[in-house]
Order: sequence, then structure tokens, then C-alpha cells
Amino acid sequence: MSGRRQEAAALPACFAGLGAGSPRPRQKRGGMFCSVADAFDNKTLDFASLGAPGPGTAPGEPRRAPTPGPGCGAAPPAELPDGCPQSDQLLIKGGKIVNDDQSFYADIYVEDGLIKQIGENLVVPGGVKTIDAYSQIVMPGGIDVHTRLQMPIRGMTSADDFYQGTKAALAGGTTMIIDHVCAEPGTSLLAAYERCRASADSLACCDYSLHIDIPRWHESLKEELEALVKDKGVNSFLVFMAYKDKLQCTDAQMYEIFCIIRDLGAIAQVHAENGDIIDEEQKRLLELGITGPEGHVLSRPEEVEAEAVYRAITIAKQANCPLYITKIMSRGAADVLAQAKRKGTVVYGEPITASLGTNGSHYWSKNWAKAAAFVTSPPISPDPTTPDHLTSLLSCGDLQVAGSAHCTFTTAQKAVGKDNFTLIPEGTNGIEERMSVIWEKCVVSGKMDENEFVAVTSTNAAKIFNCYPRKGRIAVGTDADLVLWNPKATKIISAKTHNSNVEYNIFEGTECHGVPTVVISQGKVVLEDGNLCVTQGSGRFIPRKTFPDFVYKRIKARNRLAEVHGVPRGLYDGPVHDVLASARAVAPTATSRIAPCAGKAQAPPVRNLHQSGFSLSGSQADDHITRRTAQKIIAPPGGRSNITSLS
Amino acid sequence: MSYQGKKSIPHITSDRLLIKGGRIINDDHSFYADIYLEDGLIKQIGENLIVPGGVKTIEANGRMVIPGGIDVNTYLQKPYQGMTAVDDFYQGTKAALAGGTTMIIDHVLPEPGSSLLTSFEKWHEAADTKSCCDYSLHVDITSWYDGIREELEILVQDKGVNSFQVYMAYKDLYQMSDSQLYEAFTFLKSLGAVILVHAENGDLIAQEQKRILEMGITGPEGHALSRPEELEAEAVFRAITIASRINCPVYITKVMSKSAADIIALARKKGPLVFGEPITASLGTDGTHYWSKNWAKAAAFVTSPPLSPDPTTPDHLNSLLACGDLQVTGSGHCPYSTAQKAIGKDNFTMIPEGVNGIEERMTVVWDKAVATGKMDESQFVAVTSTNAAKIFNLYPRKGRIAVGSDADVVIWDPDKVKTITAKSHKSAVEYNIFEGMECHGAPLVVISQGKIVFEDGNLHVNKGMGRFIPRKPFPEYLYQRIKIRNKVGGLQGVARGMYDGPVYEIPATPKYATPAPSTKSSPAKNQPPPIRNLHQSNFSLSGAQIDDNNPRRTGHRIVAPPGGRSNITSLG
Repeated sequence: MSGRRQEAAALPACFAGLGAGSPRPRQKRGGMFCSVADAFDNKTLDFASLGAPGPGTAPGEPRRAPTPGPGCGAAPPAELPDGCPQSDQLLIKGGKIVNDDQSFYADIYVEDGLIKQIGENLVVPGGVKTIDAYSQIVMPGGIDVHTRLQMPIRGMTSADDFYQGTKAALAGGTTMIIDHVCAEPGTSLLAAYERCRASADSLACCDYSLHIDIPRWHESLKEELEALVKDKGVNSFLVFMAYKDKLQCTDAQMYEIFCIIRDLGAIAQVHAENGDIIDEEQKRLLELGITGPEGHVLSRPEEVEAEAVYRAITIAKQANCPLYITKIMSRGAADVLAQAKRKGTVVYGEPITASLGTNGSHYWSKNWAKAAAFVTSPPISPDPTTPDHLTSLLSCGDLQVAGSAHCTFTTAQKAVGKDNFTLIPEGTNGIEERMSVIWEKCVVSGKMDENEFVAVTSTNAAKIFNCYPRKGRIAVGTDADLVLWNPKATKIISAKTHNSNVEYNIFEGTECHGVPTVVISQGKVVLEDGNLCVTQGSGRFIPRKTFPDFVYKRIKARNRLAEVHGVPRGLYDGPVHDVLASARAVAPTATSRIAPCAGKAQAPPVRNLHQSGFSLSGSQADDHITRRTAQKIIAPPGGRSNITSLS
Repeated sequence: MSYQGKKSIPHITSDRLLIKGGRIINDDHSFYADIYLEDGLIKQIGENLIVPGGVKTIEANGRMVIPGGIDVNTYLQKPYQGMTAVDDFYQGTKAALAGGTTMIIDHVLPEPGSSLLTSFEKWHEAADTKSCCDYSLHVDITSWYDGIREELEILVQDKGVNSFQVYMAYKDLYQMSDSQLYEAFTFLKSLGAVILVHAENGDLIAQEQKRILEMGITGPEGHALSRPEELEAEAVFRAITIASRINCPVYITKVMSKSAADIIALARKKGPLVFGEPITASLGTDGTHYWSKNWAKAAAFVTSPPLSPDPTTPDHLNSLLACGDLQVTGSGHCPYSTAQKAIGKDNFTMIPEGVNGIEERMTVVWDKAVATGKMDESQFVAVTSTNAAKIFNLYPRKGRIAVGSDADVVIWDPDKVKTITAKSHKSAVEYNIFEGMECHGAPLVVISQGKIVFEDGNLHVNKGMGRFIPRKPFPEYLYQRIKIRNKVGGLQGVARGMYDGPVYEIPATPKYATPAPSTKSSPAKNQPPPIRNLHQSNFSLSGAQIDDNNPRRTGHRIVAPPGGRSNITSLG
């Protein structure tokens, strides 16, 4: 483990201060943003002058030879077929480089897992492996912001482990995943994190990072969150609004968590579904005798998702915390989010491959295995216009990133819930199909251009989760995670050819135009000519710093503005109704009606010196005034002064 | 205590009345006709009526004759920490009549944990002895306890209550969780009741209150700061979501902010049966006064949900009321004297909540909506009485001028200009939140149960003459649609053959690093004990196998019948 951390620390100096705060003034020469003037001219960077160790020494070495973490020493590189190109130097010639802001034609020279040069007629060492990228697009590798590989659930583990899952990711053009660590309620988050790190370090074939799920809130988790943020490179936490009595958080807990997350500078993620309603609906459906997978979608209608999204946004806005909604599955939820953005809330939405590429009509399939394969939550919307709507919102920027929520279970595992849909383990595939599906649905249909495609598949994710520009951009100095994309090639998605461990692919038969032809991860070619050659355990953990600028600049400014002030008033000196008096009228006991500050007991009544014990007895001059029927106020004999003097 | 009313008994003359030459306004159309009232009912409508001699005649001179207003939300005599709101049923209904409202529906607010029935009886008794106009009662469900179902049933079947309010605010006091709301809605729907919701997110309010008190803000502005309108909108959204799941009507009391009203308007366009009730205060004034330097004034505005500090709110709510997105107007009348409010002088959370508005309601709506051209007279009748009567199943007894309806009639003078002030109002509080507002439109004559109770600015009322009006469940205005939707929206499963493929057997000892078998996705049920699967075999191969190199199997192995896996059912 320590080796890994060193490795993370041994980043080139130009990354040292990245994302920590405001960007430093852009360097005129040697800056890493290619949008600088003359950035694309021919040039060779002298890294030594930047203070970074020379190429081929410190930054490159540990990266090239994956340091086996503890527990993976026994796992030999599973596949190293002969002929797999292992050279560290690569030249990609003739491609069209596509970033989220612009496209241009240039060659790329890659060395030691980094992009060293971009331009035409590059001066490169001899004998470099050259990849011909003519008529192809060169893009930053995809970042899948939401996966659940090897997720333990009820004594099972999802069918794709880190090896299988990241292999599938690479095959689809995704070169980095951010996986969710789901701890058991009541157990330590840190321990779960370490377990996940250990298995990912030994198995993952591509770079990865981790989100932490907060299962059940407890005051003591606060320290763990702090430790994870400060020492473990985690900057995003997921809370659940669903799964009643298991993972669900109350509104008050969410507010508390959001406040802590805001102070730590992390991103609050939310699984948005109203668990209370779902629970009741599930009971009702089971009573009706509906036990098949269609019960899953019937018990989780999309209003329930939209409601929770609305609530999460309200809470986040109150806490002034940036919010990220995972798995936008329905029109209603997406619309609520888009509206909130219009009102200025800092909120991000993540549709997933399944919601973009297919719809929930399959829950009614006569084939149980097929119907069960679609079970995920929130469920895929049965409304067939949903994918179209979500891709439109993704194109116009109302939704920002696309994940896959890849969490697969074999049919046999799904069959645990064959007599009760609530027991079907939830999750669909999508890690491999993500890029192709989005290309097919958005770019081929003309909804977005290739730059936006790069934005939603990788750049936005890198910005939100603070690994930009190391990931998510093709520029000198960034990680050499590249995809050569052939927009003319086609492929038909099928369980026969996919890299996942499941028998059923929910996109079965979808034809996609646009296929990754070459995938380069950490400067190595991992996919070429349809052949995958990956190394188990070669994936590195990418630590992420707090306070991503993309998210927190606005939050910080609002924090400064959000101060509220009371009204300076003189002391109220009028009469005060005596609460201690024996209960009158219909109230049998003196309860505190509006003392909602839980835990704060009412202060013991202090004797009011303005009050007098003087009272009149017998019939009085004003007895006939009916105004006083309810009760009589004990007022100073000099007459009432019920308005303060300051008026 | 003197009974001022008794002196005025002689003023209430015969039981027979003839209103001549008025323009009768109902919610659907208006026409010129005379009205003959007898025995508290409208007996004849038309021209040249044949009436007995000696009947008292009121010359309307072409003025508008409208059904008396129905105030759907009042809290007269609301208890709070051992005291009660300053307006009791006598004082409150007097004020109502003076403003042209001839019926109120008051809220019964039981202490949490105490019986709904006993509380209902208490209110019933208090109102029977004091009320001057007809009244009915909503019952607030302040806690969901065992045995409440029976009580609710009794209230609906025998006691003439068909509306119940639930709270989403007041954490640890009245607040109900979403599960309880679901349960309550389901049950109330089966009774055919109208579900009223006080919509605010109590969890967040509690947090905000804590934060604001910690910041040292203790004045009434803290009340508004701790209850921003987003929290109201959020709760409205949630209430509608729950209701639309159950397919039951839901009625949002006290719509105070633009965002809450917009949510209702949006939801109505999508189909759920939802009704919204703005109150006099939200239609007539705004929440900027919470920042008043005068504590007493600022405190007088404290109600919840609070008045929105956005000054464009009244205009917006009036527009939605005019176009039908909001349907009824209440007053939320629950005034406390300044001394009572001063209980919270050092802590805004202790200020008793409630504003006046029972007397001003009709006038404010007229001034803000009709006098500005937003709505016509018929719509005015609809939002002040007819819609309320329909929703709460009083129609056409109330809310309409027709033969056979109750003789609750108001002769309305649209040109009268009146300045609202605490000096002349009928309520017992020292401060009127509409102080100084100049309003066009006021009642000239108010007739309740066929008797003139307000004329020439003088009230002639009798304590205790108000009757309890029982209401039947299943109001057609709401439940006709619900019944049809129930029929149409039946859920059906998919008929499939039995799944006969392999089933993963959950190991007794968990694999990998899971310490205990977790139950992530089965929120409701405990897993049944594993039953021996007869399709499974214990047969397994030992030694190196031909498919050992198949990486697909790295996770775990499924024990499958030796004949090969059949993982798709035969029905494919």
C-alpha cells in the first residue's frame, strides 16, 4: 500500500499543485493546456527544466512496473500474450485530436505513460511504435464515474470483479473507472476502503478511483470521512435516500452529512429514490401477488425518483453543498434537475448507459431471465421516449456526465429473487457499451458534436471529481489514456462477444456506429485490432484532491454571501403572557408546540420583572368589553404598553 | 362576561326575507332576480315573486348578491402552551360574519397522543355554545397511533367529519414520516375523506432553526430565515408524489410561496388530484415585515409556512387563483395577542404561530383579484365559497344561490372603500397584519341562516346560533375521478412459466471480504430460509478441466446440472 502512495506522490512536479486551489497563473511556456498560443506547434518539451525528474527515471519507472500491492503478490499477470506491444514510446500519427473545447489535426508522442509532444513533424526517437490514426478520431479515454465491481451483496459478489470489469471497460474505450465502495451498515468505512483498494490494486487493468458510500449515518463516521478525504484521496461520498431500514438516511441526517461534506470540500452524491414510498409499494404489490421483475418497476415509479431528486436538491441548497445525482433514470428526475440548475443550484446529474440506451418495457418480458437482467434501481423507465429525452438533456448540458453503474449478476444470482422481485440483486451491465451507446444515440443522431461527446464521457467527470487535466484532456503532460475512435465502423452488441461475465446483455442486438479501434492506457496499447492485452493489476489508484474548482468556486463565493443577519431591535418591554399559569381552555397540558429544536429543552421561565401581581377584584368598569373573553393579560396598572419604544 | 349578542336579539326580525332587485352571482353565471328566504332556506328565486304580506324587504338596487363566503381554514381557540388564541368561536365567527363569511371550517387540534374523538367533542361543544355562524370541523392527525383507524372511522361515519389534516413539519411533535403519510393517505382514501396537508419539511426546519439560533438571531426574522420557501415547495412536491402513488386527492393548506404554488400548478397539469389553498395573508401581504424594527409588528406576522419575503408573491398567487390553479381561499385565522406572542421574545421558535384574516378574506381577494381585473365575479364566488363547498361536500347546500340552498347570502358592494385597521376590526388582537390597507369591495348586508346579521356596519349576532354542518365522505367533486382511476389503474403481473434455471446458492460463509451477509436490495423482507433446490446437483468435477482457463469464471462457480446450463426459461 505504501508503495502505491509513494507512486501517487511521485507525480511530475507540474501536477503537484493541480486542483488544490485556484489554478496558478498559466505558464507561458511548457504549460499543459494546449489551448495556449502556439501549443500545437512543433516542439519538444524539456521536462528537466520544469523541475520534474527526467523522462525515463522517477516518474516513469514505478508506473511501468506495477508494484504489486499486498495480497496481489500471488496473482501473476494473467495474460501477457506474445506479441503484445509493450514499448513505452508511441507515436500516433494523422489523427484528429478531439478535446471538449476544440478539435485539430496533430500527431501525439507518448512516453512513460504521459503525452510528451503534440504537433506536426514531431522529433521522436527512432524505432518508436507508430499507430496510424488517419481518418480516425483521437480522444481522451473515457472515464466511467459509476461502477460497482466486485460488490458484495447478501453473501454474493457481483459477477464482474475488478479484472473482468476493467477489461470490459478498456474494450469499450474507457480508461478510468471510479468505483463505489459500499460498506456494511455499521462497519468501518476505512476498512471497507482498504479492502476495496487491496482487491482493485491486484486486479484492475486500468486506472481507478473510489467513491465511498455512506450506509447508515452515525456521528462517529465524521472522523472517518475526514480521514478518507485527507489521507486516502477520496473526495466523493454517496448517501442513500432509498433502501429503508438498511441504507436510507433521513432528511436531517442528509443535511448533517452535506454540511460535513461541504466543509471537507468533497462532492455529495445521492442515490435518489423515496425509500419510504417504495417500501409501502413493495408490500402492496407482493400482496397483490405480483412477484416478477415487473413488480420492481411498478414499486419504483418515476415520480418517486423525481420526488427524491427534488428533496435532495432542496437539502443541498440549504446546506450550500454541491450535489451530484447518480443514476438519472427518468424524464421526471432529469427535468427536476434541469429546472434546479436554472435556478442556480450547483447540481450535477449522471444518466447511465442503461437509461440512455434502452428502456424498461423489458421488465414485462415473458422471459424471466431477460426481465430480471434489467433490474436496477432506480429502474429503467418503461416510457420508451426516456432515452431520447435524456440524451437531449445530456447534449444541451443539463446533464453533465455519463456513468454505467455497471454491477452485473449472473442469471443464477438474479434467480435468488425468482419468487420475490425485492430479492433480485440490482444491477445492469454497461461499462463496455457506454461510449458506443452514447456515440450512437447522441453523435450519430446529430444531438451533440464530438467535442461534447468528449465532455460527457470524460472531461466533465474529470473536472467534477478533480482529476482534470491529468485525465479527460489530450494535452502535453497529461496521462496517456487515449482512444482511437472509428466513427465509420459498426458493431453489434451481444452477450456472445462482450467481456463481462454475465450471460445476458441488456443492449443485446443494438447496432452501434462508432467503435474504439485502439485504446491506450497509461501509454500502453491495450486494445488493437480487436485484441485486448491487459495486465492484471496494472491499474493505479488515482487519488483525488478536495475542493475541485469546477464545483467549489461557486460554493465558496456563495458561502461568503450567505451570511444572514438579525435585525437590531431594542428589547421587547411589553407584557408577556404568563405561560406557567394553570392550563386554560381546552389545552389539558402545557406542551411546547413549536419547540422543534430537538434536544433543546425549554429554558426555565424567568420571573418577569415587568409583570405585576396586582389585579382587580369585583366588577370593573370594563367588564362588558367582550374582547377579553379568552383570557386576561396581567398588565402593569399604568396601562398596557405593548409596542416597543423603538417603533 | 356580558352577552352583547343578547341585546341584539330583537333586531333579528322575522324569518322571512325578500331581497329585491339584486344581481345574483353564482360561480357559473349571473342574473337579475329577487330572492325569497324563509326558515333559513332560499324558497324562491325569480321576478315578481308571490310572497306573504309583511315580509321584510331588502332593496339590493342592482348590487351583487353572492353566496356567503366559506372560510376553509381557521384555528379559533387554538391551544398553545396552556393558552389559547385570542379569538374564540364567538369572537372569530363575529369577525367572519362582518367580513361576509357565513361559514367556517375550523381545525380540531388534538394534543399528540390524545384521542381524536375526545378532542373533537371538546371543539364541538365549544363551538356549539359560542359560534355565531354555521361551522364544520377538520380534524388534525397529530400522531398516528394504534386505534386511530377506528376513531377515524367513527368520525367519518357518525360525526360528519370528512377532512383530516396531516403534518409534514413540527419535528418530534406533529410530524409524520413518509411511511406514515403513505399509510394515513391509504386509509383516509378508503374512508373517502379529504386529505389536508401542512406541507413543510420539518427535518430541515429543525436544522435551520438550530443553526440560526446559534448564529444569535432570535427575532421574528429568524422564523422566515429558518423556513425558506424551498422547504415548503419540497414538502408540497413530496405530498403530491405520495398522493399520486396512492391515487388519492390531496389538499395543500396554506400555500404561502410562489414555488409551492408553482409545484401545485405543475402537478395538476400532469393529472394528480391536488388542490391548493392560499390564505388571506399570502394573498394580501408579504413577509418583508419580519424585518420590521418593531418586534410586536414583526411577531404578528409569524405563521407557518411563513409569509414569503418576496414582494411579488401576492400578485402571483392571485393570478394562479384566478386561472384555477389554486382553488380555494382560507384565512388560517389564529391570532395571538402581542403579550402571547412575546413568549418568544428571546427565541423565535417559541412565538405562537398564527395571523388574522377571517374578516379580511373576502375583501382582500376582491381587492387584489377582482378589482385588478384578474378574475371576474363568478370566479370570485368560486374561490371564496363554491369550490370549498364542492371539495368538502357541502354543495349545493352551501356555496350556491339556488332554491333549497341555505339562506347564507351576502349583498356585496364592489365600490365601497374600506381601510383595514386594528381599531375597527372585530378580532381581539391589537395588531392587524393588513393595517392601513385600502380595500375596494365590502359586504353591505350579510344574511346567515336567513337572518340579517350584518347591516349598515352593525352586527346582530347571537352566541351559539351557529349550527354544526356534518359533511359526508366521498365528495363527488374529488372521488368520481378517483373511483374511475382506481378501476383503470389496476396492476397486473406478467404470466410467466416457472423459472427453472440455476439459482445461485448463497454460501453460509460469505466470500471475499464481506464480514456479514448484507441485504442491500431487499428493503422489505427478510430472505426466506434457503430451500433445497431440486434442480441443483452436487455433482462437480475435480482436477484440471478443459475450461479452467476461461476467465469468465473467476468470480465464483455455479453448481449447474451436468447436462449443461439452461439459464433461460423455456418460455423464451
